[in-house]
Amino acid sequence: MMDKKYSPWAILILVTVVLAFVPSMGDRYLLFIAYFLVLNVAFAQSWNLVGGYTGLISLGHAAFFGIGAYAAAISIITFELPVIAGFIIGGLASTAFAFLISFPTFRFKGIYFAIGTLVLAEALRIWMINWEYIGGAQGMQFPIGIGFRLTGYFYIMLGLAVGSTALLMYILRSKLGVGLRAIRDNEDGAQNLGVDIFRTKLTALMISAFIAGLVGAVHAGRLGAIEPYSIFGAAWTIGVVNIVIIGGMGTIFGPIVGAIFVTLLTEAMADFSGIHLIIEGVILILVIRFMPYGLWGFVLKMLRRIPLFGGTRA
Amino acid sequence: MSFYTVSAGALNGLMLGGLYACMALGLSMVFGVMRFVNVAHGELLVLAAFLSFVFSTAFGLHPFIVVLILIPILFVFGYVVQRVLINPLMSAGLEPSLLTAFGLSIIAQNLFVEIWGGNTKSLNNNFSEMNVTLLGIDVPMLYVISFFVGIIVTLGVHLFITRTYTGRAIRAATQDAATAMVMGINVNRIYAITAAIGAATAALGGTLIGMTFSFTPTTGFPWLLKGFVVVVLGGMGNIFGTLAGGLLLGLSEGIGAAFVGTGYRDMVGFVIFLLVLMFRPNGLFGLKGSE
Repeated sequence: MMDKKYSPWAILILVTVVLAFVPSMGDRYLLFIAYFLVLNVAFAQSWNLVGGYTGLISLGHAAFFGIGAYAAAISIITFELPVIAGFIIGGLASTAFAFLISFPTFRFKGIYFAIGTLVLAEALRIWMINWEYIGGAQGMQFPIGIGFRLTGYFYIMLGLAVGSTALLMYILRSKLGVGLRAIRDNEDGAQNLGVDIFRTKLTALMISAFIAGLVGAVHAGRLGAIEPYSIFGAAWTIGVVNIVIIGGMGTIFGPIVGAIFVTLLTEAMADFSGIHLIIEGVILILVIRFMPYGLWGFVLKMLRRIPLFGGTRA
Repeated sequence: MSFYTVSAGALNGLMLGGLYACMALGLSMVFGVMRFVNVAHGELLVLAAFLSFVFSTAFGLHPFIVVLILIPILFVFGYVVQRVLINPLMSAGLEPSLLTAFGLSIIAQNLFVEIWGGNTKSLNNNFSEMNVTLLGIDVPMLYVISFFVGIIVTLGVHLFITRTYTGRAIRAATQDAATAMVMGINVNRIYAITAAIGAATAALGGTLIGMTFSFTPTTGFPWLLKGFVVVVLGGMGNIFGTLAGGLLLGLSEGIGAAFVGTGYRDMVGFVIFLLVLMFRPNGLFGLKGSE
């Protein structure tokens, strides 16, 4: 680590500054794409923390996102709380859900985590569709004039994207980060070395859920109206898994690279959504097979062959 | 709600449980033998249903005749996919194979839409209108057929695993792949055969699903979830456990729906799933520490 010749923080700051100028370019369509890009980055970092660094493959991340969205909507619409307070409650509600599901899903070394999150997310979606208090299948609508403009939502989401990336960088250097990766690489070994497996996994999942819940909450505000089919839809989970794996799971900048790749691919193929997902699936399978650390990992591997960049790993 | 409603729900559910066992068997096998969580199993079922639809409309054949052609087709398909896509990832741990299956499921769902469109389909057959009266309760003929197919398939797979040389090799590879390899067993081939058998049972499961219910390109996902409930209930990889899990899920759904209404029928399975995960993580019949 000592001989690294570039700073991950410098890259992060550079990317942030570039993105921060997008609204001033005055192109609303471009701003829209940029909004989805930063949303994808923030959501992907949330998945990366559990899927990439802890070895807990979440196949129900849409649930964390959806709970954040609904908790924010209920706080803001039903209880008339300030918008920002609603967003934070969204994140906290999602964190609470993570706490609840940890007991059944942390069994069997992560196998049940993938299956459990998949099943529980769907159970939750069916529940939300039938729950009339929150609008059932119709969903909920924000009052007119509540919330921010697109530019405002873009900056909030950019803040979440940068904040979650920075948080992951900080966590990885902490004791928690060492524990996470120890569990991922060898759970029995980590236990023997005194890592509190349950507690470490729980902390990671709750942080991940908090980020996902915030992203869902902010996106709900940006949409102005939410309904359970799309907000809890499996498409969110599919999207985030594709982004992190294609970009590079278990790397800091992989999710950013993946989000850029997937967001641009989605835009380029907006008229062929079926074929676009087939292509994404094929790329996903190829990346898993041939680039275990994704596109970003591949780039780093290539860079390492150039002496100037020798010995880097982010 | 009368005693009749509950007992009718119970009997109907129990019979339908045979279908649940049959469609979940492949999922359970590939997990039990090689720790592969095949999240594309639902798409395998739907693929069988679509192929059956194509063959039965093109040649005017009954789905139960078509399934005899489908079983070898899916057997080969399962074998090839396992060998080409999944086997090379087996040494890299649990995640890569699971995520590859995840990718396959995305590809399959969208391919189905591109090829066959998003409309709801079902396999026409002369059994779908028939009822059988058992113990004074009307049960759809297809539920009764499913019940027996579930039992026969389970017994068939059990006999294959216990009585043949290949079956013994599968059990050896399950217990200790490295040692099995040293003993001269081609573990990669054994894994592919296991996946092939799993896919072949999915041919039957998918046909039964298409005949009893309807299907669309995205139907695979709810069936996958039901499959996981069955497998977790019966203990992952336990063949008779899968049969018991299927029957038990059918039974509890039938009874549960009589109490809480059919709208929450699927919730019954999810609640059971959660309870088993919390209190009996090795399945109802599993031994402690069998992981």
